[in-house]
Amino acid sequence: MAKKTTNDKATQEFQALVGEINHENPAAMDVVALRQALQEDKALWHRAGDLNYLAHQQLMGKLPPHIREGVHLRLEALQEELGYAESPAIERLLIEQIGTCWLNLHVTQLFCAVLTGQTMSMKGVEQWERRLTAAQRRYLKVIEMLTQVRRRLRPNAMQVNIGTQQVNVAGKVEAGKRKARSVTSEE
Amino acid sequence: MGWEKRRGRHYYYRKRREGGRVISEYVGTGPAAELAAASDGLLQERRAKERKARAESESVEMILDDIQALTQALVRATLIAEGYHTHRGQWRKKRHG
Repeated sequence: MAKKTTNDKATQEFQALVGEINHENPAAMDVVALRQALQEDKALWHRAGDLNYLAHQQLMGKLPPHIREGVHLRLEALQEELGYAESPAIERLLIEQIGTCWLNLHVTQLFCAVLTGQTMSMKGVEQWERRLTAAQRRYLKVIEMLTQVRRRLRPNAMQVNIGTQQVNVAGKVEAGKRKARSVTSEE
Repeated sequence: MGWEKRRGRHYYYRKRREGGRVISEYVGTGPAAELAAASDGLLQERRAKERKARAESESVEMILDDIQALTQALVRATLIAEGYHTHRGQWRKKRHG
């Protein structure tokens, strides 16, 4: 069965193009075309931003009104910790997505706590557990993507920790010379 | 679920589907049946809430999966444009290029 998607044809074609070029010796023409598509075709970036905004709004709408402001402030702090203001476009996109995935995890945890506190069928409990696992997986995956990008494109980027484990060891950080900021995913 | 009126009296029945057929199960009449109907009503209400929460969650999850797929493509494209490629799941920089 085909996976349900809201992505349009242009997005799917771009994804296919990236898959085709991703090998050791891509044709120089293809790489130039890809660079151009990245720099000139703003529709893809806008689409990613729009989808992120849509998910963010839907998730915020699920939260009880009295905690929305607190969650909003926490999200802003998270983006700041990850260096949103001084990051290039690709990292900003990832940081926004980290925020949305964090919010999704938070909302899913809240729903799990509320719904499993009521009488619920085993099937229902299992479905919510699967949902929670998927939310955690998405959150970690996007953190890993940010780490990958920073490790390769900005060797002196900040330190990112998942739990107690440092996942990016890019750029030598000498004690006393440069203070590495630490971001953890223990939410 | 429902009340059925037969010969001037109300009887409560539960309905369920089995193999494409609807099975009607007699519950009773009077206060006991009213209690069973109220309990069934609450259960239905809870199930409807669960269904709504699940449907909303699925809609957001689909959007999140789409963003992740698109972002992953943009990340890959950015790294490929910088001379990287994946080899067995690991990003490698092209040696002579």
